Amino acid sequence: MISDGVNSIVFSSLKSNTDHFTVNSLTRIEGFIEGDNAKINWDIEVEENAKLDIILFDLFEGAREVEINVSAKGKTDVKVYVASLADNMNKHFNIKVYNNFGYAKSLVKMYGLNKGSAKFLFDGTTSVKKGAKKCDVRQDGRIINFSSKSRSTVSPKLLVGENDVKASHGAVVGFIDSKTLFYLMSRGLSTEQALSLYAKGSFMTFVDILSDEGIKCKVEEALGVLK
Amino acid sequence: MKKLSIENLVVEVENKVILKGVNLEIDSGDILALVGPNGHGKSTLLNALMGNPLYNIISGKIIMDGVDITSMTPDERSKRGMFMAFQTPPEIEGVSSIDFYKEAINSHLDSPISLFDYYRKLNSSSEKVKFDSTMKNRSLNVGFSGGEKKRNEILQMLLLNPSLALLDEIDSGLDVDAFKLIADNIIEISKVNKTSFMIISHYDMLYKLVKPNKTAVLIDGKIVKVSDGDLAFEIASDGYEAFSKKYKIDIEKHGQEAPVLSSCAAKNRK
Repeated sequence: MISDGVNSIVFSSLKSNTDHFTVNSLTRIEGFIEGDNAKINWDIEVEENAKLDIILFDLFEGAREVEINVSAKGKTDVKVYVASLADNMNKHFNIKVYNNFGYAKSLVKMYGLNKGSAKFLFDGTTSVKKGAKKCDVRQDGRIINFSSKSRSTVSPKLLVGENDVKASHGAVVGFIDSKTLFYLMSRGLSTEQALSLYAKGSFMTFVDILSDEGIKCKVEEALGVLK
Repeated sequence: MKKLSIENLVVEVENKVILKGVNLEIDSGDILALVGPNGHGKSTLLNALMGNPLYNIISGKIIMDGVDITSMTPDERSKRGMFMAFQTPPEIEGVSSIDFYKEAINSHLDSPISLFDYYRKLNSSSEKVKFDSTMKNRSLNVGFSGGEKKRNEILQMLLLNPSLALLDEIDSGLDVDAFKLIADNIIEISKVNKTSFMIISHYDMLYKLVKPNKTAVLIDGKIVKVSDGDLAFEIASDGYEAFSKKYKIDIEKHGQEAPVLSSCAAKNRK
């Protein structure tokens, strides 16, 4: 699928999808992942001076295997946001951004909550090719575990072949801060209610990035029944 | 609440015993000033009463209106009428204050509060603490100044209408106007709702405004003296050395230093 001249691609119910995109302008890809066993495999080429924003929400139970490969072929600006909730089905998100030319920017931000015993894996690879000067790249992965049985891993990789760049990453796997949980509970919320409120709040920071009203509604509805 | 009884309470934090057998009673309508030198267990007592899981009760009991609440969770204690104003309220990104207040109110009710009643209650309580209307739509405590966080604590107290309020240095970092505002609200809720208070403050200015009727002195993890409200002013004026000499009470702390509890996310320990 070529998105030449198309600025917005919306997947309001993304189950399994393999696709190839070429982006040569400002393009947003927004998706709401559903289904028991969703496999997504995207290869995206971002042309010179193009800008790409990808926002994916995954709030329902179901196995997930998501691989997104972005090849930046010039002075580009790529942002990928993933918000996912895991419970008992395993989920794996593998986001790769290859910056092959100078002055490229990329940001990959993955945020997850693991409520149950799922194996939940955020894999991220951001590369900067030798000679691609003045690139500015960042990778952020964060999973909060709600259960002692949660099996979560955040694995960012920066492959930087050029010195004159800015490159950074952050990776956090942990439990909800005990003081935060105590604070919420001290106001009468049960553990489950407190965790649910916290989960909703965490995902709401990603909702602000969405532009498609249909997906926004779906996300807010899903967060509203979040238990 | 008619009565809170604390019986021989022993509390440890990170394997260090901080409270070494606290005995204390609070009656309906009491405004109790909890005083004592820094590091002797005042905040520990409030946190243990509220059920903070980091504070491990080794022995002793907390009885609220004849019910043993020692093993109850913080939310269970809150539903029984207990409230704690935090010394440093946490910032919770993404959780809107307005949603949180509603959840908190509903957790104390048999059926959810109507939107009309909720906004009426919220608006009148916000007005009492001069809480800017725009702040209610922001994430809980995020970007709030120290004074705003404290006002937010008092706002929540007004919304939840507890029978026992534990205030942990509610006055620290406040300007004079905010100080008086908070004191006025404490006095009002005490008179109108007969809410009991246990207040920790390092400034006698708050005590002068709220006029506690009781003072409990906590030294080295134990209540060493309970008297009327004047004792708080006496200690504020003359200090603990003078208190020690007058009442022949040892004010030294014996044993290990209290631990400093961090507030960062816990790492997975496998």
